[in-house]
Amino acid sequence: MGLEWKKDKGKVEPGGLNHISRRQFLSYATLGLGAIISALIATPLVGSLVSPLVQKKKAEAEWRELGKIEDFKAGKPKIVQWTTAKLEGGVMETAPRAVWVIKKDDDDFTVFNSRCTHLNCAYSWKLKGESHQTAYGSAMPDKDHFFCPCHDGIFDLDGAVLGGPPPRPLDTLPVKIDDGRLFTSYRDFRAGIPEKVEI
Amino acid sequence: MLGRIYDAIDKRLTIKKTIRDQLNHPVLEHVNPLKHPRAFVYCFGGITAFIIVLMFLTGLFMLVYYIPSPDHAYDSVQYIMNNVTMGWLVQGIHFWGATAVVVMIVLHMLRVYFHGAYKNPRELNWVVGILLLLIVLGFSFTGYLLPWTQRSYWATSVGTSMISLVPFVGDYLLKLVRGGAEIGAPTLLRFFAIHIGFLPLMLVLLLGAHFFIVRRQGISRPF
Repeated sequence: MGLEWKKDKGKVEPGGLNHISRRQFLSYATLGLGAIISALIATPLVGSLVSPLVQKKKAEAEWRELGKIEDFKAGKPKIVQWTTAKLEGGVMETAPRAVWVIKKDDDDFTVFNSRCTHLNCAYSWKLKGESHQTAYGSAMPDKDHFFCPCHDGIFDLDGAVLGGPPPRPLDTLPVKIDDGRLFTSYRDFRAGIPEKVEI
Repeated sequence: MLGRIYDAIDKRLTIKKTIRDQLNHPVLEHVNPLKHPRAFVYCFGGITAFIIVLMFLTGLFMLVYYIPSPDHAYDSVQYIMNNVTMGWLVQGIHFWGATAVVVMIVLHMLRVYFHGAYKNPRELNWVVGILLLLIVLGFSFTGYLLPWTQRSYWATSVGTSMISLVPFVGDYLLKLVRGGAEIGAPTLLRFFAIHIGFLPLMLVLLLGAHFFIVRRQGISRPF
């Protein structure tokens, strides 16, 4: 079996090396045409399915006000939440947004994206000795900390990893203070990798 | 490689002979357009089946983007047509295929009718074919509403209003079809479920029967 036309020695004789039976030719032609038709049909179908890979992400409003600087207390992280409207799949929908604001001084603020750098769960602020549920019964540090309940990721006030699986510190967001009010520019980052890469 | 996988499967299931027999099934001379050009009329059923396959595939892939809700249906269809890569083609094939499949069914029925191919012993397959026609018309009617355009809304309004004219039980039937007194979210979801769930299942089962019967009885000769 198999096409023998490569071994071209000139004359084609029935039963010879270069011979393809009519039946074999037709079966190859049928399979070939079938493959072409299938590919033609598959192109738009697969194209539509992988469409999200080529859609451009629309940027969110550049600066978001988080509050007056006197609303925040130094050394006491505060979560700021809001909803943003975005167009997905032709439909306007609202998406929750949250950031943690850490104030050191009136002109020294840090803003963290509220998602754990491990796998994007939401973490929360836990006081020293505060009892709470854990995923694996991990030991908690002897100071106030950020804690992610999914896989016991632990960060300190500066966002550094104290324990658990997170591959990098908490993601900081740009900060701007204007006329006594605090602003940030929200964005998300890829989870699970040591580098901070914006999505 | 593929051959060895096929051999391994065949060793366990012994399907090779069955498949070979089906592939070796001769195309009868009287239905072969290469022998008799007028025999192209025998292709209508096969073309119908091919379009139905296209409808299944394009419908399946639009299901990824379509949102069956009055608030979102129109926008999501516009998104398929304008933003999804080659979505205009997928939607277009589904749209034109819907018309083409009805046209091909009518031609197929005319062929069967004028050849008298519905006669004994093939009455059963005529009945199955009529059921298939009704199912396809069900697809047409329910699919028409899904883009939630003015046209689809009012066409469904008219189409469902007719059923309320049935004596005595008309009002009940109307509520049953619309999922309420008015056309709204329940109507859309009902039509959507029928269009992508109930009807496809029935269509596949009856098409299987249709093909099986044709194979069993053979294609009739004209007259």
